[in-house]
Amino acid sequence: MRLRRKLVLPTLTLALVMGLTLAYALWDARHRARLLESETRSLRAATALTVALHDAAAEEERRVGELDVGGGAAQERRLLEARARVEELVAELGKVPLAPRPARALAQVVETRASLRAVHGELLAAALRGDAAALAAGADQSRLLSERADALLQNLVGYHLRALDRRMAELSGRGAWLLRAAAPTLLAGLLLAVLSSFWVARAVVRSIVDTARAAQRIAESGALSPVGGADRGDEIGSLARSFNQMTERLVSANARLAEADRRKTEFLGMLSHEMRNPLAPIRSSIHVLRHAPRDGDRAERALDVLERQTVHLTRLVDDLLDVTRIVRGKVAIHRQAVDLAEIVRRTAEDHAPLVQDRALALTVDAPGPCPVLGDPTRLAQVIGNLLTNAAKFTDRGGRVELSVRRADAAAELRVRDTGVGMAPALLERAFEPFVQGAQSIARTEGGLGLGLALVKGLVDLHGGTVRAESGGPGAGTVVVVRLPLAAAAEAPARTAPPPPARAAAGRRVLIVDDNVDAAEALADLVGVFGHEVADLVHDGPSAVAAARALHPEVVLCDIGLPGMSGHEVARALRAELGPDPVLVAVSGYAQAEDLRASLEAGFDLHLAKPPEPEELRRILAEGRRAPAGLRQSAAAQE
Amino acid sequence: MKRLLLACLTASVLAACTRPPPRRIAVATVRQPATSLLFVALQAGCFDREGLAIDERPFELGRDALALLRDRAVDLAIAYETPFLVAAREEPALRILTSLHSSTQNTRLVARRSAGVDDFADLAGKRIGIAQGTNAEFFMDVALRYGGVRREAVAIVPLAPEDAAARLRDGTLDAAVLSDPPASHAEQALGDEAVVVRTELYAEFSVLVARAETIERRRPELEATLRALSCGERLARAAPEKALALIGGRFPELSEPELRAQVAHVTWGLNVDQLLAQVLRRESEWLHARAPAVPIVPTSQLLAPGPLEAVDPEAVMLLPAPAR
Repeated sequence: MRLRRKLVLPTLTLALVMGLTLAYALWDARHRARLLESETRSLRAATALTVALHDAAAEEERRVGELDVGGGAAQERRLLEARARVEELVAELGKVPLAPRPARALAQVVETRASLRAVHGELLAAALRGDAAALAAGADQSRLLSERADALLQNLVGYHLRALDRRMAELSGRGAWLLRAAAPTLLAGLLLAVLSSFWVARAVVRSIVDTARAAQRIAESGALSPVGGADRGDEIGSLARSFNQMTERLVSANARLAEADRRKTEFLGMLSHEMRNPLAPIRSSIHVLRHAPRDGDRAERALDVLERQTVHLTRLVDDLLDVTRIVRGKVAIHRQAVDLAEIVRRTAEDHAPLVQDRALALTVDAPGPCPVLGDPTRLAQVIGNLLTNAAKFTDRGGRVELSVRRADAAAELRVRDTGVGMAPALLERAFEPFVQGAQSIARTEGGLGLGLALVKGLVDLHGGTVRAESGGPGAGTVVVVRLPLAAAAEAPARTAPPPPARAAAGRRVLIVDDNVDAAEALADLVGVFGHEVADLVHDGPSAVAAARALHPEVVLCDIGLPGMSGHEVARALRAELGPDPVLVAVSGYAQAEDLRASLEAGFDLHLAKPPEPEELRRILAEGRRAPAGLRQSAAAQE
Repeated sequence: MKRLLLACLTASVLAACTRPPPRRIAVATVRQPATSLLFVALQAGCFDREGLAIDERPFELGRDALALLRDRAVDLAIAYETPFLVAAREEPALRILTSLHSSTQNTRLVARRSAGVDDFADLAGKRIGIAQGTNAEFFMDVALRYGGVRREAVAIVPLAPEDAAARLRDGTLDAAVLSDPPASHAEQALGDEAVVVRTELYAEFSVLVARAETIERRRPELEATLRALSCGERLARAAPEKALALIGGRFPELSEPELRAQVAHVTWGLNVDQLLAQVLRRESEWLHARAPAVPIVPTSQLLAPGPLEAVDPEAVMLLPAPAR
């Protein structure tokens, strides 16, 4: 039974009992009042007529008593008049509706009256003949018969008075009975209602207390603690089920959050470790450069170290940004028909040094063509990540096999290694961010554990699937990527190689950055590329003033500046100088929305810090004609 | 548990099926058609239905029935109002529970025509037989009064009613005050010689009498008796022929037409009303006039309408006592 109905039940019960009791009491009172009214009416009529009859009979007897010898016609007339009055009243009484017994009494009255009339006749005759004795005897007989008739009439009154008494007693008894019957009925109804209320309240309160205790247990232990009563069909059961479902989800979510928190903490430790790793050789190399002869072998090795570690650091940050963008859904894929086999071959070539460094045997099986719709840069990133991963986790002398072939309506890319393999538990989570195999303090393999997560994110964006297979630890790993094949009409067009960079002509470059070191380093780089640094400024207003005064061909401008933001500077320069200067944003803000904001403010290009030197060289060399291609390159990072 | 329930159920069924033994009531009856309402109820099984067994002690005269009641040999007695009043003057504990019949035709003067009796006025100097201590005495006084004859002018002859027919026929009596069946016997015996004089001035009642302590002690049984009589009354009103047939066995000496004729003189019915009270009052005054040493018993003290009112409220038509 629904709780709502249970709650309504006591009230309805009480109302029903009270209503029925009241209705019966009203009906009974009305019925008895009608009876009483009817009997009272009969009594009133009978009593009034009886009293009138009594008076009329007394008058008749008086007239009888007046009869004397030789009384004459006047006495006779008076007697007859009195008798007629009595007869009239008797007839009237006969019209009153009477019960059988009073009716029989009235019939006796009528009989007695007939005898009385006979006696009156004899009396009148005796008066006429002057028989005094007969007159006296007749008067005595008349009195007796009249008394008899009177007694019979009194029976009528007695009958009705007693009926009235009985009715009154009955009414009184009925009232007492009703009180006696109604009071227990109402009390029983009330008791039933109270018991039902207690019962319902107990059921509700007990459930609330159970729920509160379960909530407390969950709060204290964090463990799942189901509330009883979930099998009930009422609202309490519904509440219990919802509560249990909610707590189950909360506890599960809590566990996932705790796990994510643990992994994040682990990741931060890992990130710290991975960032420190390149910093150490960088610091050492800087020291070497400061103290060793500039043109010696040591300086050359130090510069190589600096370059490699900077590249490594940049890749770490790029990977991190890529994962973040993928998770936030900020990466857009620029699909075009490409030959996956060609990308495989090219990427394998690019990563050949890495494989060779680790003394691994790399075999590539990409007979092609294998056309897919995809972003060539991102696909190359997928393949590169898989190769890097395989190389990282395969011992020296191992083997890495890269193959691509058509399978059904898909292109299937396989990267097989003879490396450390994966445990089944790791296989399930291999593509989640920050997940790696068992870590050692030494972290010989390095990396942030983002490679496979990036692969999965990018493959998902291409509408493909990726899975890892492994026979277990030490049994090597196969990663299989399947991408939908492109239709024949979408066969890849051979992409024309990028035009060679024009020889750099000496350009006047204004550098704006509030970080003095960053500004000076960038100025050195610009100088190395053979261009003229018109000025170095460190805030927005100075940048606008310098540009106004020096008319530079290119402005390399940071975004977060004191006084005016880079965007405000760009707007000001475009307003004053028009489209002439090439405005390039160089910023640590490198998200798609940052790029969009820069372009809207008037920048021609947006480079993420640290800018790739080669890219910067190309931009400076091509000047205003480069932006379309460069924009495309920058947008590909989205 | 099941056995216990079964035992309880069996006990309940047995208790319901087993009738308690009937309660016994001893009644001194008068074998007259006028007082036959009790016989109707008995023969119709009304007493059986009330769980009553009647121990009947039959008499020809109520006077003798009352004597047994006064001796506490019976619980109830049936008598006419006059012997009751006579007995009540000596035994104040006697109470009328109800009347059983009323009539102005049953008690009458049966006279020999050759004795010169045609009306009450002709009774002077005549030998009149009456059963002493019965309503015949009161009737006699009424007859003499309205006949204009002094009591001293007549010769009152004590008479057993059953001897009346023979004595009227053989001329040792000129007239007799009689009720049925002796009255009818006398009329038949005299044939054309019979003169019957009735009067509306006298109303007779047969009454059911109990002692006050019996009413108090055996109220339920008395009420059951009255319910049985009421049952008989209803039957007699609804099916008078059947009632007649029921009492036929009680009067084997009467043919069916004779019994019918005698029953026609009376009206059976349970009543305690103003007419009965008036008759009792008048006869009490008459008795007092004859023996002034004995005070008049108030009428209200002679009547005990409570049990009848409990059984058949409408049968009591007395004016209620004034409220105090």
